[in-house]
Amino acid sequence: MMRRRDFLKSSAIAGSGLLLAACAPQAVAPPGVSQSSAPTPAAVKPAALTGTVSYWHTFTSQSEMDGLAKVTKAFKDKYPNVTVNSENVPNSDFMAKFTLAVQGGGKPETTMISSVRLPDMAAMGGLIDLTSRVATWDQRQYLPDERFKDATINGKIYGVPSFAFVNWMYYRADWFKEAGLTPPKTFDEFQNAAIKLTDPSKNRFGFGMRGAGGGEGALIEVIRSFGSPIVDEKGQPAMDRQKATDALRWFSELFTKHKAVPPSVTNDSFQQIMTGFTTGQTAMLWHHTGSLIDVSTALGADSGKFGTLPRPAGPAAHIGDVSYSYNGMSDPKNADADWAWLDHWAQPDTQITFLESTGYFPSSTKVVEDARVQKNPYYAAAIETLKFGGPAPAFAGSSNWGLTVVLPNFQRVLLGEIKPEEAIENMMKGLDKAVKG
Amino acid sequence: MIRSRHQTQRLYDVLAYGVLLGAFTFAVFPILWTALTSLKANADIVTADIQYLPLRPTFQNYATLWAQAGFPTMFLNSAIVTALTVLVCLAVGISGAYSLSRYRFRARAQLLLFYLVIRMFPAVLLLLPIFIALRVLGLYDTHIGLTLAYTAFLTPVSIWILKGFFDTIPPELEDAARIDGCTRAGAILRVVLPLARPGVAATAVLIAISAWNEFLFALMLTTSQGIRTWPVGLQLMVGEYQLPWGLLTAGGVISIAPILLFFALVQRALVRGLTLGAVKG
Amino acid sequence: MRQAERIALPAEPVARPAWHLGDLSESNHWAYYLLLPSLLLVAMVALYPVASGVWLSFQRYNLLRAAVPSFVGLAQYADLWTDSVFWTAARNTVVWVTVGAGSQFLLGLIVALALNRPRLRGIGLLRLGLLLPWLMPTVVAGHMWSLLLDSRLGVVNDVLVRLGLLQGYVAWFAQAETAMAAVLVVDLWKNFPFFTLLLLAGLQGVPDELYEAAEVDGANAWYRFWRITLPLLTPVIVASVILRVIGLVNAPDLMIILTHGGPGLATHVLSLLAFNSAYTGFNFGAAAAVATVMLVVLMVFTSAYVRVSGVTRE
Repeated sequence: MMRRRDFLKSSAIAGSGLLLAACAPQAVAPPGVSQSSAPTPAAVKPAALTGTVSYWHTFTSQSEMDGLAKVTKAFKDKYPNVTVNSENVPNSDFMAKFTLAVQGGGKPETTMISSVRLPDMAAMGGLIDLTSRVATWDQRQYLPDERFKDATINGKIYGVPSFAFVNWMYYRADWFKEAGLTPPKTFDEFQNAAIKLTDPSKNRFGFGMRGAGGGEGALIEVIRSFGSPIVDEKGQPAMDRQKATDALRWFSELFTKHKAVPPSVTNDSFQQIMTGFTTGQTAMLWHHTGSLIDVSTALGADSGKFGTLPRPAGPAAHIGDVSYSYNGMSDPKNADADWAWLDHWAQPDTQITFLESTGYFPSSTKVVEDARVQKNPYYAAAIETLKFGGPAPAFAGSSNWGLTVVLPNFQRVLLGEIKPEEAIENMMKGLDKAVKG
Repeated sequence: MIRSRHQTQRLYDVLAYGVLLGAFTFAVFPILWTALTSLKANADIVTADIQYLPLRPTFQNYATLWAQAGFPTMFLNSAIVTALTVLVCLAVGISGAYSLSRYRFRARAQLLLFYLVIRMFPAVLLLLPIFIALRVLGLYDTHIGLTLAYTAFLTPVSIWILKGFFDTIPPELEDAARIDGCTRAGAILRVVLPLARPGVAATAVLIAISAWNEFLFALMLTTSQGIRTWPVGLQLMVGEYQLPWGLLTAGGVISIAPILLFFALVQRALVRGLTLGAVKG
Repeated sequence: MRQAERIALPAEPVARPAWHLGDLSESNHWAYYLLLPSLLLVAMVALYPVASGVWLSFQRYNLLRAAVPSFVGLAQYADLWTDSVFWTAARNTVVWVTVGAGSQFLLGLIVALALNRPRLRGIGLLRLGLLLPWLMPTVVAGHMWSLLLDSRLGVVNDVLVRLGLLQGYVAWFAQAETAMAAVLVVDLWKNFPFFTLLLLAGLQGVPDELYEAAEVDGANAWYRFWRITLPLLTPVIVASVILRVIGLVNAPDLMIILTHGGPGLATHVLSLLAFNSAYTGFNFGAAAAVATVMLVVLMVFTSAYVRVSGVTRE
């Protein structure tokens, strides 16, 4: 009779043998050592490019998918022997899937990269250095330096901008007219308007503040508007305690003191603030150009009910963040074809096609000068913002700092659990930890 | 007043009805709301005043969903993986649970706990090792690979639940069968399993539902070129700036349908239909 | 092996393949053969990931800083010990698990008892309806409930206002006082059918004769429940409670959709902390430490509960 102990031992050995075979991890390039794509020789003939290009994206809505389809088709017409295989990844799980691929294999050849995610993706060694390709690129003239700022780390460029989200403000033009108010240009005017337009009896609030996921971005913009940067040019923590506290106090008092914000603020994320604005609950909304079509559809494009404005100017600075969506390379098995795909997105024709489908603001200056953009009254606010606006501060670990330190502390101030001083203290400590480790 | 037995039973029946109707309302109302929402266009969902019944009912959401992004294929993939998972879990679970229920050996209690250990670690952190293992074995993005991942997590569930049911069946019944000439295996097949039918059916339902609705591993271990399953397709509709209530709820309704079918089939087994002569003497 | 096993095989020798199930089952190692498939499966696919996860908790492994982990002993745990967010999450987790498991078990039991009554009409439909919440995928259930309880579009708010129970719409997930309760209600809705399903199957297995005999002896309903039903149900109860507790501790899915730990830290739980550390912070070492803490707590709970309930006694 086999002894029980031997039985357990033999099955353990059998099991672990298989395990050991299974656990060889992929080699991961250490961060900071970027892998370059070979510089392109003289332009490769379109017909000469063959093979497949894999592409990860987070497009969701009908209009986005429609735009992608048109862009893909145009690419196929240009490069008949190249096939693009697009993989749609759920937005909230994109980083998880990307991280897994970096560690375990299976990175895409090309990928869509949001400016918020780029530092993290580059830091983990998941993106390819494109500097040499960009330097000799003919579209470069239409893409000024600051459009690459978010994609540049230590002088190396990791992405090519394809479209932009320009932060701006929607406001209920009809309510403003009714109350005889002029649309606000400064923080003081903004606060004034928010208070005047609040009328609980009509279930109306002046400002649809975003106090849940994503709301940390607006707070950081306000902090910068009061004159406190987040990090300096070297990427070291540089928050000004006094100014940041003043900023947080001013912003949170819109809710806690002036009651100009709906009481659901601490659970209001994008979906909720949009609902609030489009169902006539709030008078002003801070978002970006990407939602223009949704707002137009809900309120009517020419109804006169809403208008767009640049964000109001703070006491120390006028902040209007412009974040670009980039396309970059992660594992270019087919480098020239991969680059052709990235190049395609920056072409004016492509950008116009995409603009027509989605309303997303183009990244190429050539396209911005196009009549379709210039003549649209709503886009005026975006064009103006581009004059002073720039990228939000982003560094490896900034997403995490925003979500797990800034946001909960902001919410606690809104709830009255802590004072702005304590919140800023926590945020600064968290910032130190995020940058220095 | 001394109540007759009959009256007491009636009282309990009334109480039971009360409980059931209350719980039923609680359980079904959100589902009903989901179904109603799926019949509204988005403009009728995001409104200042809530619309209860759809004023302009439409099946557009279902049409869009079905036509979009390969839903039928994803359904099929889910069905295959679910079926395989249920089969493996039941086969492996019944044998393991029976052994743990009937036989005593030294590491028994520890072994029972050992089975649970994999569930005690958050799945999100087990992703990477499993991901690597499947890639190395060449099972990434295959039905077998995903099934393997699922069964690793669901076998402990099967074993624990089935053991619980096997424990409630008196061993004397198998002894009686063996005296009549059955082998041990025969006793299991002819005596224990029929008696444990409600338990086995319940386990099968649980496994099926867990596998059918599972999202995280399906997302990480499949791609759209391969065997992407439908929960991933559903999550794809929730974008950074989009939350199409109509589509999402339609997806929810569609997702319940196959499970309901499966459950209806298995319902009969869940009901105590067999009258079993108790062990006498 | 018990004495009862040593019984003579059928007299007539029949020519059968050596691996015939019947013969296999008569061998002295039958118990181990039965265990082999599940043991192999779990050991192969489960053991390595968990072991590597625990091992990772002793390393510093932040994907943003270093491509390979470095051993640091208990440093991750020391960090957790001094982290107030960790303790808040731990406290919230205790509330989440005890109230969650308790409420789900109670409701599941009451419904199962009601469903077990033999003469009710329409019971098939009732049973099906009561199972539906469990059938619905978490992502749909989560978004649906956030719509139901929405402070602007929420039909639950509307109904409560019409019934006069509320003055105005309440932002359930936005207030620290109500957020945890609201998420618990959603989890209750989603998971009580799990208990109902299992407990009902367990109840079906209790022979009527036992009840009849007790009634003849003059026992009332309460006595019958305590002395007959509950003891016989114990194995199923223990199994289902343990599984549900494990699920509550480990799965942040609902929390992510409904509140993401907010407002402030009101609904922040350990599973969410681990998730954030890993997939927002890319700090896999810290995440592994939180996960290992959860693992140890669960192991202690499970072995204690199993021992106290006596399901592995004998």
